[in-house]
Amino acid sequence: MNALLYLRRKKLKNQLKSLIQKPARLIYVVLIIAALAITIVGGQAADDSGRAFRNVLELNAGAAALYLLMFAMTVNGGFSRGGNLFNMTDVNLLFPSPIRPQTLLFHGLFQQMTSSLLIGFFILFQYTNLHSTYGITYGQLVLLLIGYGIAVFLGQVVAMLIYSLTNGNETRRHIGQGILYGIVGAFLLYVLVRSLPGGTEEILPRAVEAVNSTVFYFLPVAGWLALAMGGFLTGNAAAAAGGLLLCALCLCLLVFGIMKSDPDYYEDVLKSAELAQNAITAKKEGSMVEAVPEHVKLGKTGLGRGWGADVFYYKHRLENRRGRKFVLGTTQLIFALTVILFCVFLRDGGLLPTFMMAAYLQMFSSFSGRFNRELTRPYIYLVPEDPMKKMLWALAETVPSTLLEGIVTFVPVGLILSLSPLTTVMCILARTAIAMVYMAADIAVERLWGDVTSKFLVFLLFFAVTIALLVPGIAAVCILTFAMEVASAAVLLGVLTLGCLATSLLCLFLCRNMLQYAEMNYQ
Amino acid sequence: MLKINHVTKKYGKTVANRDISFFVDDGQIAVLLGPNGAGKSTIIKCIAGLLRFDGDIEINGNPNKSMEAKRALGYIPELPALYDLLTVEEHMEFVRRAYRMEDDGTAQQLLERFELWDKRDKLGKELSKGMQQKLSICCALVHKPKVVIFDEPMVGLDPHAIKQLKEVFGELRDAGATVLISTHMIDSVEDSWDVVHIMMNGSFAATRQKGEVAEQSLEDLFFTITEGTDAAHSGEQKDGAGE
Repeated sequence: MNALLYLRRKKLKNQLKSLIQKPARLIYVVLIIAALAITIVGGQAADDSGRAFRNVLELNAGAAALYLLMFAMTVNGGFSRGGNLFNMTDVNLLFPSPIRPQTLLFHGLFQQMTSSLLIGFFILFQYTNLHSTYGITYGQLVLLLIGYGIAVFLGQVVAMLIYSLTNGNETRRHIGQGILYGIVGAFLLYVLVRSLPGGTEEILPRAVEAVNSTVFYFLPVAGWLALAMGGFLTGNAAAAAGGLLLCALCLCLLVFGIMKSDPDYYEDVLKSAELAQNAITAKKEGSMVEAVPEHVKLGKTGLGRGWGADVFYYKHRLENRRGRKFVLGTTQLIFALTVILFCVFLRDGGLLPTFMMAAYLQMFSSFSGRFNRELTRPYIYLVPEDPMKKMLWALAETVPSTLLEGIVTFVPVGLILSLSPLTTVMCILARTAIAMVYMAADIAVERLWGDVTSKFLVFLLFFAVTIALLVPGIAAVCILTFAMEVASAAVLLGVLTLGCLATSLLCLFLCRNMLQYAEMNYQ
Repeated sequence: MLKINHVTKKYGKTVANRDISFFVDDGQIAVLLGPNGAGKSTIIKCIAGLLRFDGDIEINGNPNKSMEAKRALGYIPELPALYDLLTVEEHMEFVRRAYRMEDDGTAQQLLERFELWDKRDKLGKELSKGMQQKLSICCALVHKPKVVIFDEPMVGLDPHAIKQLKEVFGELRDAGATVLISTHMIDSVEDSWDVVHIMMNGSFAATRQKGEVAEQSLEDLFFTITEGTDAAHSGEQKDGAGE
């Protein structure tokens, strides 16, 4: 049998087998499938007769913005590390083997195609919202997911070509980045110029119109996908075929370009393979790899402050200063942008869906906090200070950054939804309180089940504790809404904030000795 | 002084350490030897207070999770755990401040000794594996611990650093510190050890004082106990198998 086919078949088989061998993973998959089924059934069950849906081209514009973001970010990454087509096992075992580089390139492309689709899996969970707002079918949602996969996939291939063309040549790199920023900037400017004339109410319809215009369709990949997906959503087969054809043609040209420009592309994928391997190794060793900028601006050196436990706080501030290009990290900015976009397209649904989306995404950004990274290194356990003090000082930096994230997210949301200043402030505070719930749940899991080795089980436990900590606040909000008919969003958010703060602070107090008794997270 | 009393560590049903007891006195260097998976790193992590366990561990007469014990302990992990966004010098400042130690020049001396002073403004993420290991050693020694535990300290070190580290072992012993070294590189501790514990399958297979095995090298002793043969014989067997 062909070695690469054997490899693919064996990998798939072993992945399926691991589901049976690791029950926690199986439970996780079953839960994901159940959640997907609920969104499908929930979406279909709604009575659509006589319902006026929003213009589906709005959705297409939103999808195009997401495609552009993912494509541009992936390509930009290509200037420093190349494409992510291969992993270290490929580099060590396949590259030295007597298999033609061209065949291996297609193997890498196939691998990347699969993982690109998996990355966009979260889109499927939006079915209920998108169906009720735009009336799209599940098939159309799957097509939107495929569009997302194509954007990431083509981004990776472009990244690989770019790396092979600019590797080791700073001038070429700057020219390449200039071209990328220039093209993206020009199209964004076009959308902006078309959106601004007219009143505030006209901005969104005009922006949607601009993204669904012929000029925007000239934008490589994101524009072509906007053409294709617009075709699928509106039933225009010619547009759909045209857009997909352009993407396919682009792929052929890129592969031809890679093979022509650098048939010996092995060196070009080495850096990204090493980076990916470092992340895998770190995960196995229990540490967390931080996405730090390639060129860190040192600035003033030295901690200068801190004595005993509070030195963790000053260290985190220093790390934050060096680790971010902007005031907030890239992940936090992307999440904020996602929530704002979500709000733009679902603004008819009111504050609740946007707030829920913000709280949901926050769960993932809170996982990347410095405290969690600290738990994977020995110092926080070794330092001879009171464990409660160490924990609080190590958590301290998250509060201002969470507040700032809340401001960046909810001030635009407040403007879009025309919320009162008080409600906007309460949204920011409630989001901060929910961040504390995530933090407290994480600590409780470490304290109580620190020796559980299964990451899936840890996530399930985290999920369960989070729900338990959220329940009092949510229950109070429900009682006020349904039994006492309180309708003020500010009051309800205030009650939710108090409930979350109370449970999370109680949880933190109960876990005050966590650093004394928890196991270092080596698993 | 380091006292380990009936320590058992389990991961689920797997017993990583089974009822381990040993004692390392002040001014003594104890070495833990054993094949992969013998449980050496696990007992080291238990001593450092990073893992839960059954039994008792005392550092300088205090339970290992007490403040006094933590203050007296220096721990060099198997894999250097540094911060990507701190410079070499900031790592030393961080540890010094965390242990409430004034800057008395020890940090600079250690960095100079391990040839890191000229790299003091380099970030953790910019260091090679060997340099990371050297910095990890410096971080563990900057607060002048009385009990030092090394987990595979020689991995990735260049010859100069290995020489320096061997000298550090001797200096720590001369200063009355308690030293415990877990290693695979038997020859690296051949000249330094006072007592050796050979571990197999989570337990001690043998314990020898240096005086007891004056004629036998550490390597021979290791193979005699772990494989029932000496090093030379083991080599012959391997040669024979290759023919």
